[in-house]
Amino acid sequence: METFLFYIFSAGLLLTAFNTIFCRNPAKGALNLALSMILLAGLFFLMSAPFLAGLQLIIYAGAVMVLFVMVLMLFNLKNELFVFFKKRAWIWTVFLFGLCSGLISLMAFSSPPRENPSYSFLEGKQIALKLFTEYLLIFEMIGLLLLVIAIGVVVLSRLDKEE
Amino acid sequence: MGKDFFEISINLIKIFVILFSMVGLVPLLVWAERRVSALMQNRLGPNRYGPFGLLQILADLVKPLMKEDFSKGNKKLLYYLAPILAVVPPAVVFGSIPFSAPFQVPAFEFFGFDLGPYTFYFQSFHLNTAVVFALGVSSLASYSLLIAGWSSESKYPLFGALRAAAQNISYELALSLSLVGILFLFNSLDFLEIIEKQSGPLSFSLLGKDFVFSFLPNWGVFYQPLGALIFFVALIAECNRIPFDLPEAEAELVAGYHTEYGGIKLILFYIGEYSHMMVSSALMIVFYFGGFDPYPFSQETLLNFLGSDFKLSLVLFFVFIIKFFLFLFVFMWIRWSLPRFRYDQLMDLGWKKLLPWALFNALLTAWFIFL
Amino acid sequence: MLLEPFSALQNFFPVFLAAGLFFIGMTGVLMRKNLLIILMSLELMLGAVNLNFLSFAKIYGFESAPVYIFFIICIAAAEAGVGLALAVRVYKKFKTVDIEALNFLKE
Repeated sequence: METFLFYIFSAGLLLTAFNTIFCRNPAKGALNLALSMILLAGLFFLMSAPFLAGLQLIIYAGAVMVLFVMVLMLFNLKNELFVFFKKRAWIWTVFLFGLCSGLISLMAFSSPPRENPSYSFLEGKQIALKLFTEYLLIFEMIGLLLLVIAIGVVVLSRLDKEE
Repeated sequence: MGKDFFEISINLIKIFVILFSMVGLVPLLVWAERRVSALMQNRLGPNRYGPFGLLQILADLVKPLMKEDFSKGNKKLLYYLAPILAVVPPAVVFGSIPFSAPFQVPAFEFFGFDLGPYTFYFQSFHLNTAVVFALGVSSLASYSLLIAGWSSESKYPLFGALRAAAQNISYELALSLSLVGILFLFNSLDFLEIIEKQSGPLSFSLLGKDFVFSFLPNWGVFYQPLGALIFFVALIAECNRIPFDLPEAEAELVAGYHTEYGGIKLILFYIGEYSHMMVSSALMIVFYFGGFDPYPFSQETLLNFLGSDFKLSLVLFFVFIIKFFLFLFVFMWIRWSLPRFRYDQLMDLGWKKLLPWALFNALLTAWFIFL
Repeated sequence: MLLEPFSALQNFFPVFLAAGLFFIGMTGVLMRKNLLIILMSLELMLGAVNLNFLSFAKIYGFESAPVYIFFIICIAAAEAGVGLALAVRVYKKFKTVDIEALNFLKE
């Protein structure tokens, strides 16, 4: 049952990813990306990380992608006539993917996975404990970063009126 | 899903029953809204067809099915997808909210099969991190607005949809932050555990002394009145109800993002809105009003009085339904009493007033827990 | 049997998926001329990295993985916001988001 769902989600992810990069209309591409983020959250659920799946849904699929879709719908760009298929990019992609697959397979066959895994570190409480003790500095710095970005975005969108 | 076929089939039947009861409750809510609005406006609502005008529901169901589909010829797939997307997120969240206490089904024999002890949950699915899940899926409701507005290929629906989406994501923040206080208090992300901790009399320990107020229940609203208020306002804004009704503003934007929709597609939008209202009411009860906690009694006295687990769950379900309809009445009451916000007032309220107060509420709760 | 050598790889299927998504995103960044689609492919790459972290955490018991995932989600959201704000400014000034037309810093 779980592997069946995993294959469905993976197929959906690959399909929506291909649609995103091959889309002729950017707004449709953004909607495809939103769907792929939702499918990714589903995959996180399958891999027994429900807290991270919920976070992904709230932040990524629920706010960031809505912002993308809003901006693209506001722009109302024209459809591209055809998507220019760059052979060089695809050659690099396939080559690097083959290299990565080789490396991953090497890793898989050389080291055995651990027995009796317990996924207690994926729960909300454990994450919060780690965030506030070991990684406190980075947490605060990200808060500062988000503040700077919020101010920066407001400044970027305001300069128009003063010109 | 379950250990053996009996449990799987019972769970499947439960999922369908919950889903169809949610959709089937919508016409009842439409009728209730007309009667409540009539009550507010000192007139009688529909009272001609059937007792209390209940056959009006039948008329309301048949009328949109017979209407002409006035969409122009070549509409894209997204145009037909948007009303469906309006119903899916509330339906999914509705399945994760518990309606009553789970009861244990002891091992019994059924046509020669030995079926083991189960726990029957009154939810479609039982999640351990249901709070984050509910918040995440209800934030996907903005997509149906955007897709509906954009695929209508016309200016007014597009603007209505963009304003609606902006309002939606602004109030999602206040929604999530006002729940932080509840998470501090009850230390769990599971709905059932949050409800369980809200049973019994109000008791907390402040500065080393223990306080017990036995005349008040241990509900969230008494610990966090500010948080409850912020959560309630944000829920009304998320459902696009009046006073946050600008996306559907009848007088200003023709009809907002569902201008180009008629007949069944429009009804699907209304089903989505009323479902979202039902989900909001249920969430409000679960977090701040004790879920299915029967206030003057307590669950133990009821259990001793009734004698069996199953009957207790039925009585608690009844209590939940009472609170649920009470909150739906409050939603409708607010709708027919307040005028609509202007767009800049709306954004002002969301960002400059609700968000700082929600943060302050979280800070206050943290201080009080520390003391 | 045919699937014998793949049994050790069973846990690693999400890693392959993440690698595939990452390289699809990379191709999107290299291939497309529309600025906004490049930004979207960048988000796809970051999502693939999240999946990678989680699958490795499941296999090797890497305890701090959720923290990394949380940070990456936050930073990706922030960077998407800034990218969109910049794209809006570019569109307002030059009336196009085609990166081949935005070569003013050349020579």
